[in-house]
Amino acid sequence: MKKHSIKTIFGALLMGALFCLPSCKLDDIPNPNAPDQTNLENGGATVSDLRLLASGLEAVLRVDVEHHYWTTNIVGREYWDLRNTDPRFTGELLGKGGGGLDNNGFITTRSYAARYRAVRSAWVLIHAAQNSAASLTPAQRNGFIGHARTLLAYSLLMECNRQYQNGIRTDVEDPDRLGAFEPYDQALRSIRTMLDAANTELNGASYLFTSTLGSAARVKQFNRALAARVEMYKGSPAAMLPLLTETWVNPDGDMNEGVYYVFGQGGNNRVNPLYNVPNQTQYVAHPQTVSTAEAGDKRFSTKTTKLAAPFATDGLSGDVQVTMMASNIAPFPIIRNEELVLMWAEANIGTDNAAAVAAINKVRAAAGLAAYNGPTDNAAVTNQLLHERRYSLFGEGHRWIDMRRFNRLGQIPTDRPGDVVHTQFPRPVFDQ
Amino acid sequence: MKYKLLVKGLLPLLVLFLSAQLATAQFTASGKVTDAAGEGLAGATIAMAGTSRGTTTDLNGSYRLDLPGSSATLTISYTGYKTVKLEVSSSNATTDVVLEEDFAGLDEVVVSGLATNVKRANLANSVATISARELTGVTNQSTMDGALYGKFRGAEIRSNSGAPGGGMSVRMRGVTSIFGNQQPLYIVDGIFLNNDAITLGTNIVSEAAAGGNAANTQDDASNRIADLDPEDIESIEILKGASAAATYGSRAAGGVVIITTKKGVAGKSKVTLSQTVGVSMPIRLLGMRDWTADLVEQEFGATDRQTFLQNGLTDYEKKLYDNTPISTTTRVDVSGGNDKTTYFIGGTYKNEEGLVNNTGYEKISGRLNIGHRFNDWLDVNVTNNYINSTADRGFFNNSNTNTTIGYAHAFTKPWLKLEPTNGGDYPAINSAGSNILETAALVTNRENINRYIGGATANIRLWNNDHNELKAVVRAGIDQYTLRTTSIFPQNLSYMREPGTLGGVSVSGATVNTNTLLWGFLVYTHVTDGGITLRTQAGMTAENFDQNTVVITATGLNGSQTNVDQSGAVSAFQRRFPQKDRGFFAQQEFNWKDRILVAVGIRGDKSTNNGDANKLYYYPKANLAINLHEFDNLIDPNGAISQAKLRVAYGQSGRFSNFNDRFNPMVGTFIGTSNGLFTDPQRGNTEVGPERQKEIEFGTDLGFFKNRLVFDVTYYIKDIDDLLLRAQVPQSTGYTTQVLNAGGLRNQGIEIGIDAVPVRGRFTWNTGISFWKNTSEITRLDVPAFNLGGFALSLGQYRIEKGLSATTIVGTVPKDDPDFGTATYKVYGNAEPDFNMSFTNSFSVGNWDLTFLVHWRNGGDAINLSTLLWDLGQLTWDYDDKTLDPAGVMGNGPYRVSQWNGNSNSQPWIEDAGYIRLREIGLYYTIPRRVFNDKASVRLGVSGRNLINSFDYNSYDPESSNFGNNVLANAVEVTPFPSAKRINFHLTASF
Repeated sequence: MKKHSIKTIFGALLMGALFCLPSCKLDDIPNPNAPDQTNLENGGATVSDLRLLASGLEAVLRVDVEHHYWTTNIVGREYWDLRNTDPRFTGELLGKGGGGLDNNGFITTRSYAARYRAVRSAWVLIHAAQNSAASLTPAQRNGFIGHARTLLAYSLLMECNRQYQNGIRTDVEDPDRLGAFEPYDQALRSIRTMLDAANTELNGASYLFTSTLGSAARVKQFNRALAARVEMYKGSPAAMLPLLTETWVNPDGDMNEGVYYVFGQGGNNRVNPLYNVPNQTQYVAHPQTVSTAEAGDKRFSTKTTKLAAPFATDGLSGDVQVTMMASNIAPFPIIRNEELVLMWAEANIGTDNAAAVAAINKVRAAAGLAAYNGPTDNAAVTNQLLHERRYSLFGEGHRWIDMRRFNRLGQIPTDRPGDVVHTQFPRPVFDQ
Repeated sequence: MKYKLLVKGLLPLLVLFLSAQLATAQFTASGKVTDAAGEGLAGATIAMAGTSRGTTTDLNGSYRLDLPGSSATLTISYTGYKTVKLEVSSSNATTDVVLEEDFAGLDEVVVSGLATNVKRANLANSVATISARELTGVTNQSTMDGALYGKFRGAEIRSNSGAPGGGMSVRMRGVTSIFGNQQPLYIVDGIFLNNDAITLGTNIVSEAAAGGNAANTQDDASNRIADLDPEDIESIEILKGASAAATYGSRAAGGVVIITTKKGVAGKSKVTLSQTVGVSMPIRLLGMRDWTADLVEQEFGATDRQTFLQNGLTDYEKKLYDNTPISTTTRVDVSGGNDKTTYFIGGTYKNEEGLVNNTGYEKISGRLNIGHRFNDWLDVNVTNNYINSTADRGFFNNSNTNTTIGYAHAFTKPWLKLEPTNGGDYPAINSAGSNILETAALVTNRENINRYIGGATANIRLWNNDHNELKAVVRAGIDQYTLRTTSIFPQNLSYMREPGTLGGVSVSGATVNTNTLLWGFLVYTHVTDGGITLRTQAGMTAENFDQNTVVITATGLNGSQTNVDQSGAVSAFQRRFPQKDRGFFAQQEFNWKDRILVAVGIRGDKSTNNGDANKLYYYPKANLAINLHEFDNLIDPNGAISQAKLRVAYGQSGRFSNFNDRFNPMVGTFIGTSNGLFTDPQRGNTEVGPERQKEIEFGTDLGFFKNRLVFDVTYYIKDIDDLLLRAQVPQSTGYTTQVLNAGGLRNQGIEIGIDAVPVRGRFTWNTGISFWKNTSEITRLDVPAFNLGGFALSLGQYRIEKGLSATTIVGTVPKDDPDFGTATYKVYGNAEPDFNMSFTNSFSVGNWDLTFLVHWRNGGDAINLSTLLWDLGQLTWDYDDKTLDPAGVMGNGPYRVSQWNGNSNSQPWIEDAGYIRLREIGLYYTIPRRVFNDKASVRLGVSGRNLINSFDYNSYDPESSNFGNNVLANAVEVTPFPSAKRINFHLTASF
């Protein structure tokens, strides 16, 4: 009997220890891998968190940004992607065989999702700054909020131009209650309203963080430059001029002065995905872009390199490689003085064509070209303006949008029988 | 004082004990246990019924057992033989026993709860058991999962690629989840094994997935069950669905694979040495277009014509893959012990070279299993396994930078010279994106494992008398490994040399994974006078999991240096996955004279992985088996029918959401001079819970002619509810996905087996046919129907839509289709096979044994994107054949491209992936023992794996998967590592 009691005690102790295992409470395991968004938005953000969110917002603008520029530049036949990495770059995107764009393919969705991700990140910063328990002056709080709202509007504007008449949602503050799709013109008005609200917030704002776009004053100028762009898309030249005066526009200044996406190597930084390795990465300028470039046009010659042997695939062939980025950490322009000067010129067409031509000639002189001395009627100056924009802003995603707003998509060349020029990108299937 | 107390207390006890012993009458039973041929069976178990008294036979099959009283009932059992009951008494104590072979495996013991077993004859489920002989007896096996093909019904097994070192997907009874891990739970001697496939981090170079994300599923990682040495395994039991696996609750939705390793056998030490040497070769090569100078000029222009005329053709496919690498396996088994302690030592050294140069798999595995009986109430079994392995995987699958060997090969013109000139660097091949010979020669992609799996189980018989027994079972185990991944893309690669390129990449990853487990159970058995056995078990389980992966990626390497700090830039990636599960299990069994058997049980589980960590989720089970042949006078025991069982089983099991599903994380970044945070594309769901599977299965087992012909059929219906769906959310929210419990699906299937021994004697023939078929249907979908897997609709994707099969493959609607413009997709196929069949046959004549296994997978489609890539390179092997174009005008290459580009038709690359394979064949000769004076036994053999492969699929292997184990993407092929077949030569000697 004693033998039994020894093992009974032994067994009972063991089982007792085990039976308490499931009855004890399990503590929730917080995410060990990343900070929690909900906590940051609901008042948990410290000043240092706000700084992280502000820098993160500038960084998220770079996510898949190449897809915005690749798709718009290729549809506008500024250049081709002959890398063969995905057949859709020479197929679907160029409307091969008259085909449309897939509303669930990456050509459409990568860029769309990335722009709205930036919008979400901007809202997180706005909410975090509004609700933060940290002691912030109104000017400091508004610095974060106005900055975020400016970049939010910029991201919406990018996708607005891809979606065009499909329209976009501009009110997406609450992911559970998304606003309606607004047609192109209405969306532009909403974006303008957002920019103006941000502009007010940036009045006298003080930055507690380091912006890669520049000082608080420069970001305020950038906000006005974006507003001028919006008015340009709306076709309201009269509204552009006063906005441009609040920017760094300077016909005699450095054409490259502006705000840029910045890149860097290492860690969580991002290298410039739009950099093409010389003789290797197979982006080639469209032959028409090559053939209509004026001899000695520095704008084109500095952005391209003639190849010894052409790159070719899928019935397309080109021997001028796009080399607009000097390195994989070179910054990529968002808005430069050159564009502001050309916007100034465009705003003057119809009211002061001489001023328009004067501005155009400043740009041409900077490119090492002789002054324009052709006719100065509205149509002629507009034609010339489009020519200058084509080369000044080569590879910066403008050609297709410019041709569309002047109803000239029919003039964009197609290269193979059956190819078409898309007017807009389809609304992604999950956003119907 | 102390001493006094001890003496005072113990002495009377001792006296009492001794006198009790002396007072008991006893006698000794003895005899010999042999098989039908009269050979002694060593290691047979002799147990006194109703007690824990027992012994095992010695090398000659003899036994001696001291028994109390004057008479007793002994049960004599031996694996693979029918159990015999024997009445012995002091007057009739010497009895020899002849055991009959158990062809139907009815006396095999199968798990029925977490702490109990049941005889197969009494089982209410269709549980497959695979013995060591079936697993590794025919041919040499690289990995445990790879050894399972065709050996049990109800599974769909795929090899993701031909890369050495594993990478398999095992799916039981259809799709059981859309986004969850569908792989079964692997349990070795009670220890939960980690079976993750952990990223290699090569995506920075291949850019197969967006943004160069280090966490990528396209990099052909192996899954960790590959570490387990198949030679260590004694048997495998497979619980295919919830009706059998409910005891494992939240981890059992993919089925459970219960592995038991070899144990020592009491008796003289037995040593077995075996050596295998094998040679591999590709199962298929695809070839080239029939190039002529004119054809080259027509396709690529005059410059290429010149190069062609100058260089001629090089068949790079042959150069890369048409090799005959050697593989060797050296194995030693030592086993022995006495009546108290038994031990088993197993050691394996394996070295398998891959088809592609510089790839291969090398493994050292050592095992020590010890069993010890401390006394008549406590015994402990301890298992230890250490594994060290290295797999050089090569660089294959999808690449958006044309850098993987497979991908660049599709664009490599065979008239280009890829060899280095004058001993220098390899030339850059811009038209292909990279130089495939250079990649094969210089790129390293390695997985290295150090793993320890060990555990202990203690059986404590707390109390027993004639009618009752109370037992405790306590088990603890650990599975710990360190995985090191090393990917090196040296700086002198043609696409790494130039400024502005990545400048050489070194990716160094380390994963430390620790699973620990502690279980405790009480089992109470009560036998009534009426022959009813009642067994109750209840217990608790606790499992902790911790995984920590750090991947360091260095770019811009300093010359030939490969250390991550010898570089221009370093980035790091870390993921930690802690998880704690707690649960309980209780089960009541009822057995009336083996005639009617009932079991009901329930498992409750909670886990930190659920949105609510302290919510218990319950998983019930119930089953019933009726053995008609055990009833008196129901079936004539001397008639043709020897066994007739009806069975029905029901159970539930679950699957956890993934670790991240409940979080809204912020992503770390860096810009300018500052750190930053931005939002993640996945929106968290704090309400997320496990998927729930409910399965009912019915079946019957029929045996004829003393079970020399056995027939079993099982039909199951498996419903999965609360399916975890990574629902696409409107992207204008700023998110792209969110995990919701928002769907349901049903699998139904039938499994039929026929096993027979048509001829027995000097010539013996065993044969078996298995048939299994599964169909699935999405029964509930709370989110809009969606496509997933693959790359884009036009390239073929799976579609999840209510009413469709879960494995439906769809594509874009062709322009010449009547539905063009109205339908958003067109159904092109289904990845689920129509059915699987396998045929096993083994013949033995004298000392010769021949065994073969044929596996037929009929139907089931796959998306073959390799051909399309080759077509874009205008180099496809069948580019000029005219077998696809219904008009017979276009070559296959131009036709495929035109269908995709011009006609938005996805048909040409969705292909039938069915096959018939001679999975295994082995011929062995055993040299008679007398040749070695009865001191040794030597066996010689030759065997083969996948020697005959018949399929229409237009690439290397219809099983290839670009997306690894992701079940709803794994029928997608993008330029994989080609598969190999192998011939092995064996020599085994036992002493």
